[in-house]
Amino acid sequence: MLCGLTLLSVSLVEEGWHRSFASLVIVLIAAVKSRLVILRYMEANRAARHWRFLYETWNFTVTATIIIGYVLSLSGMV
Amino acid sequence: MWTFVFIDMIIFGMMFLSFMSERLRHVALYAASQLRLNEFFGLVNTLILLTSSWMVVEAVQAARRNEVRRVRRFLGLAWVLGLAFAIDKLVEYYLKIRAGVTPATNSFYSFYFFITIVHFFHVIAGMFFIAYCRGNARLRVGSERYVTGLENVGLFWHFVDVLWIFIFPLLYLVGRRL
Repeated sequence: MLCGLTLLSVSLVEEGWHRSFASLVIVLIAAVKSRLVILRYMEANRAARHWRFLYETWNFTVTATIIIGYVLSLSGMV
Repeated sequence: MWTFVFIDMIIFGMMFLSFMSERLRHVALYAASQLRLNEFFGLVNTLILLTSSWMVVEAVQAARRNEVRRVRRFLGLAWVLGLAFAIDKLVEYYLKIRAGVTPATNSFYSFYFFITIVHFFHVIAGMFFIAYCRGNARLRVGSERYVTGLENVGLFWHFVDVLWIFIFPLLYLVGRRL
């Protein structure tokens, strides 16, 4: 599933999807993949509750940083 | 290990924030520089690291079941995949430098080299830990201490994977114009 999501990300660029939409979907796919690795592979879902909270918060913050930065660059707000 | 990894995550998070902030100031330059990166190197490396992470998950589960041969086999595969990642990255650096692209070319490439080289050192460190666990597996699989140690190595290796999951779209894909 993780590899499939990765291939989907690249195909969005290669297939010439609208650049802005493709970029946002690619970042969201990365967030889903990262969350899966954190919960399933790192087993954060079985660790102390605060670690799960902190790791998921990091995942959300990094995703939001990239998306907000990208949207601001599109709108020329800086 | 959870604490160490989280601190490292914060540091990489700051790097990503700096990159996006600088990108806002030089959108055209970053878009043009990004086009000179070959996304297939990044794609291959993503698939390699995801598979390697999966191998470590299998090794940890085998260690919990006290299956020495499976632990050694999966850690060996994870290490070989780590090596494949390192070779792929070195080839990419070589091609970039041969084409005259260095960290001094512009700020996009400064970030590109800095972020990926710091990540590369994490991969090398992870490979060292994996090799150490594999080397000790015959003697120590079955002990609670070995399983805990391997779980910590796994945590670090998955963290390296999570970082690349974001580095790949950040540097190679987001905003890419064909």
